[in-house]
Amino acid sequence: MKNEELNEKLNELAKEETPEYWDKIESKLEDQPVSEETVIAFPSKIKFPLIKVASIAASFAIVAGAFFLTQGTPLDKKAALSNGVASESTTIGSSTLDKKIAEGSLMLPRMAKYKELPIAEIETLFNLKLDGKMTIPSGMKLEKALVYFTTDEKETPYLAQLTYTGANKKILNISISIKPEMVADDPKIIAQTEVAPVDPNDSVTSSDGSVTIPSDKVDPSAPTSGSEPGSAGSAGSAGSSEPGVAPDEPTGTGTISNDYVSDEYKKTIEGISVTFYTASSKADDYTSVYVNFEKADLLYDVSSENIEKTEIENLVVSFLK
Amino acid sequence: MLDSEMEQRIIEISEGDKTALEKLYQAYRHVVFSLARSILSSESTAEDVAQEVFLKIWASAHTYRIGANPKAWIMGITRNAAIDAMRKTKYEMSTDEVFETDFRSQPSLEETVVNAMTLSEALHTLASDAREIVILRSLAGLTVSEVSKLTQTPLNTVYWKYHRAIKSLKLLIGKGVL
Repeated sequence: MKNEELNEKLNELAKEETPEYWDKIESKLEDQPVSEETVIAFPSKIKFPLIKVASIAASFAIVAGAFFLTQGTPLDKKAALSNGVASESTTIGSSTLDKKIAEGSLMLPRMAKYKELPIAEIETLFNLKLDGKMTIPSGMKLEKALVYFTTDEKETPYLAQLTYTGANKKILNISISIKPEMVADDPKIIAQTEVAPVDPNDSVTSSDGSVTIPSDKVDPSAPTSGSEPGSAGSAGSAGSSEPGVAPDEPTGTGTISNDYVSDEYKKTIEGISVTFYTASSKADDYTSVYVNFEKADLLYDVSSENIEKTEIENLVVSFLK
Repeated sequence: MLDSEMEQRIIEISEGDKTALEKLYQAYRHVVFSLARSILSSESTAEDVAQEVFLKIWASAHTYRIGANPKAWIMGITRNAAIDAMRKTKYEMSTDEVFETDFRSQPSLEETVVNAMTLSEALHTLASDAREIVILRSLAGLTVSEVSKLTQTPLNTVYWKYHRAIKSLKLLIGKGVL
């Protein structure tokens, strides 16, 4: 018997054995509100639990950022490559996508609303001293933070996104969402990336599961190795434009080992940026070119009250131009 | 129901369309119930959970992210609701306990050749995690990697448990038990 036949059989049996319960649902629907957005306004209406969650999320992202920015190894490209997590690759995405992501508009496209706050307000709100907790590579500074709140429904993730910009106008986004029930039920906090919608024109998934950006989606004008100092190149295009940086070959493809990539992750990859290249004029500051998918205690080494109890499940860090 | 259709239904639900919810229910009621049933020992509790899942979908359809996997989203809600219910009712659903409670008196495989088992009974001959994997994979149609992520189980473990489980189920079907 083939698996498909088995699945069909199981479906038939399940349908037969499942009681009808629509009437009960319908009767209960009378008391249910229609689905609607519940966006918590900032900062006056925010309640304590949300502040707590958001605070954790923000500090979480900050420390993650600090970690990635200051400790390129062992989570760097080399490590990622050797683990098979990432492969040598170049760039993915389109400038439009990247821009939307940078704006936060692509994260939760239908219901997302976010509040963009000046850094001083963030610090006050979260009682954090952001700059004091981070070591930011030279030329970079925390410019703004986007904090998303949707509802306090259990299955709704919270998302904190911090954006950093450097003198070279590059932006580092760190997006981490936190499932609030994890906060409630477990001292561990599970973070996961948001999944951006997939534009099928932007990428294809080959039969072996690798994600490939068609060459015609790669900006042919993108600078390649040894391009002019300071030239930024197009967002989402191949190669590094920074001086002193040895960029990946601008082949226009990005592949990730299928073993490590779920379909959802692929969407993330396709929608955001699989790989990125150094944004610093000092290449050694952070030369990591990778996306990490491993559920691992990646950040345990980072000194932080929150991080000690925190487990990053998935994290996407992307440099955008 | 295709993912795109399912997504469309969810969008309509978010706009207050009760008919869309009913369509989603018709297409997915057995999957939701089966997953809940695989986690919970009580059939009535599983049905309560299944109802709760559709009410949650109704209440939180707006939180669905377009482009995400609608099946995985619903399965995630179902799983969370079932686990919550399990905690509330203090049901500990280890495989051994399942046998000790609901199915202790189940006849052996050989004995049941002449007496057909229900799917639920057949699934309960599997370990609880394998049961859940089979439902997510075979009924819900999730990919192995999606099952892996949802259940927070390593990919290879999902593969292994799934293949072992369906081998058992095929054996039951081959013997005419199912």
